Amino acid sequence: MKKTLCIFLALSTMFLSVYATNSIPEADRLSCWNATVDSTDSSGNQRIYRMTVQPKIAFGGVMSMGTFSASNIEAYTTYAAQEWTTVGMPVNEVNIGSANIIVYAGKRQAMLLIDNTITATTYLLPGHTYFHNGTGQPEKNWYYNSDVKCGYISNFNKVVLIWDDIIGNKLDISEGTYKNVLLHEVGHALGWYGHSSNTTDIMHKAAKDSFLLTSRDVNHVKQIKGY
Amino acid sequence: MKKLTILACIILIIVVNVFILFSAENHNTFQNMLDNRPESVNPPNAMIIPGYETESVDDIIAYSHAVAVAKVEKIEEDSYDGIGYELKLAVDEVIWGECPYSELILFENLYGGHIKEGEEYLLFLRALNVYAYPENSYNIVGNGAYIIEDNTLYGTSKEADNWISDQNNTLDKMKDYLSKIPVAYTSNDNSIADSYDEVSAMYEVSDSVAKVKITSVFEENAIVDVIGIEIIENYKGSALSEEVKYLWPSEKNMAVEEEYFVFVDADGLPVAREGAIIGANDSNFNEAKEFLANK
Ligand SMILES: [Zn+2]
Repeated sequence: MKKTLCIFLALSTMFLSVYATNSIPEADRLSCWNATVDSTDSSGNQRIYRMTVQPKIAFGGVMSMGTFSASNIEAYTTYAAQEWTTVGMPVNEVNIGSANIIVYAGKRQAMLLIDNTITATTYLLPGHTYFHNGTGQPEKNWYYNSDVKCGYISNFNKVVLIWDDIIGNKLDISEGTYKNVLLHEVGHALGWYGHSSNTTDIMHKAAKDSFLLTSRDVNHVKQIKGY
Repeated sequence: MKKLTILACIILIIVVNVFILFSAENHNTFQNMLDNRPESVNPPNAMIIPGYETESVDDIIAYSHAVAVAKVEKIEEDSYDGIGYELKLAVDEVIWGECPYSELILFENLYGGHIKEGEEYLLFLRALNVYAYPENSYNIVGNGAYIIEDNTLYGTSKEADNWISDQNNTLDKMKDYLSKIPVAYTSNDNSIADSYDEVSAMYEVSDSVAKVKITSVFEENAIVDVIGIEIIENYKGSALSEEVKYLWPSEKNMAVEEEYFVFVDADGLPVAREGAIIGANDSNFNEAKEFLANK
């Protein structure tokens, strides 16, 4: 009887560990998680969040004259949706009324009305993702799995693209680079909390002129989604 | 007598031990707290532009309106539709720049829980100056928030420790250090008026003034709607465009097809907290209509 129980326990442990590691290469898991040193809560736990609904994105508009071209940012929104879809993380482009990821672009003063912590966070950042649920409150539905100590669900995210620094001077990047920023921010909206340590990844923290997701970018989001 | 001496000795030993234990615990608690600070309190989803990273106090003071010692009286979790946390602060001392309020509202995201209720901090502050927030609303510039322990400053994140040096790592040295840095501008330089008594005065301070028809309304959050416009008549400036959407006060309950006189700044935001977006039911509608008829 004891023997049977032992074998059963050993087998289930083996099965569970194989199941937990899934198809994501170990290197991608660890390097991504190690890079999320920022994303610890006050108890030292790593935090992630994820969408539990189908991601639906909409371009909400350019909110300040003489800044971004609305047609460019709209095209970048379409591109980001397509690129994440191509790699297996489907993002639908919809109208604003039915979206759960909304993209706004404009001057910092205007963007503060959507996300009032962008100065407090980093005062020169070109893009930021803010998490809401449908009623506007950040959700705190914690869940646990074998890879991640804790996380929460956020099914309504806002992305802001910011034109200028804290005193109104244009940030020193070209409009084309915001295509990278937006692709990156959509990664956050899908659930990537933290940044990749690998500088060539879209989910590395630095804005740059590259526009193709890497296998590490994709694998990390798949891991979050439980694929 | 002997018994009494022994008893006194025992009591003394207990008292001393309790004292030692208590101070050790206190010390450990503070050290533990320092060890457990987040590496950085930038949110993990904040992107950077290479070359723009904060490296020293000089970097954050360049964007600050004031540096103050203030106590966190209360942390409201759910403020303004969940856009960050709203912290109520009591200002003890302004050590640099200008901050005319004894009570502040601070918008923070509290990533890493680095700022706590009931604690006092040295804060690098910048006034929000956006019409939909109260005038005493501030942000912490680049997470410049420091714990003060026995006059010594510690970053609320480990990263912020690197921004201070031997020249400014105590409260006294920081006061001295900042006293040599000129105040570049104050929060009054671009503060938003609550309202204007006369439309003509509001016209003068506005970058753009127009009569617009509402073409789309999307409820963004508790304080603003996203408004699409058609310009019926432009009286001043070029901050208004049909290509752009505007974040105007949700309390106006704007609806498609309605017409408004709008008085905005270069960012397309109302120039006053009240009375700058004028609909047919507003008390200054006729005044605005008459004034603008002559423009
Ligand atoms: Zn990021």
